[in-house]
Amino acid sequence: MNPQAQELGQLDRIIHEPARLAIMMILHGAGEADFVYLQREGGFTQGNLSSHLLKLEEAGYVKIEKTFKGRVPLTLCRLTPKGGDAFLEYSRRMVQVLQRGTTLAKAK
Amino acid sequence: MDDNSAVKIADPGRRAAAYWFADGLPELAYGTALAISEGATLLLGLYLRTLPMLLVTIAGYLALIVLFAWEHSVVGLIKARITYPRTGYVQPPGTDFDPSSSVQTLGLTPESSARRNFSWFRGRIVLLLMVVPQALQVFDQPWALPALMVLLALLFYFTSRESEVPVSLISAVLLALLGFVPMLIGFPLRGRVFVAGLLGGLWLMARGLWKLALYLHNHPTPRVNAGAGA
Repeated sequence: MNPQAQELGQLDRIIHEPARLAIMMILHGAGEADFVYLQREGGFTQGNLSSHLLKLEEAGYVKIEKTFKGRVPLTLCRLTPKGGDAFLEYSRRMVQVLQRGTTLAKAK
Repeated sequence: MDDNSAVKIADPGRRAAAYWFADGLPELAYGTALAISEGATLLLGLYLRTLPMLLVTIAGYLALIVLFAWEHSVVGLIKARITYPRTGYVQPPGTDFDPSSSVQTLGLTPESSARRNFSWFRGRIVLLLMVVPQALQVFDQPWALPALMVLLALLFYFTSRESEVPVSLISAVLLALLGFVPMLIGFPLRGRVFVAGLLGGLWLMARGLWKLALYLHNHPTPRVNAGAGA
């Protein structure tokens, strides 16, 4: 089996979906964010974001907490340590795959 | 007055830092505290020597100290009523960038390193507006204040282009022009240090108010509170 294809197959499928990858990137860079911020930043619909957050929460990558800032109810989301590690591992693998792909393309 | 450079930032951490300043409230808060403290000190030193003015001065400096210590809490309280219901909440930025927390994310270039959610606003703009005017005590010349304000305007303009609080050309020109006002109205030289701080505070207030007005115009009150979604 092609080693590159093998590496691609080892990528975390939960994170690899573009919407979930965007959520993980935003949360990794920003710290914690609420539902409205994620919706605006990612350009998601409410239902779309809810379903992706649910999948990330089920995988243990994101912690969702209902809380208040002042009197405003917020649905706060943040990466769990497991989620942070998974994201870094995904990034590392993806960079490796892309770097090899670039090297091969240059060799041609 | 200000452009929307923040929207051009691609990194999620830097966007989150820029978002903290999107409504102008931090600038408005620091500007108000700076203007009150410097303005009151100026009045106290030049015209009045009464106890209430001393109290106002102390209150102004206390407000600045409180803002430095609890900016996220103080400004966050106002944001909870104005910003979060409209455009959501994100963790407020820290004030120090920790390079060790930087990790490489997607991309093949070194520039693609992820940067954390942090801000240089206090160090670069607020502190400089408070500290740099002290240089005026050395120069006993009427041109010193306009020169200093031009210098600050250039400094802010060129060092903030990639920051979370970019200073637009118009905003920088306004700050530079403000420095000429005391000279034009023949303001006495001995109060210039506080005039510089006062002008800086007013400039920050103007920026904050302008951004707040734009923000409120672009983001009307939501009919349904979507913050409880998910």
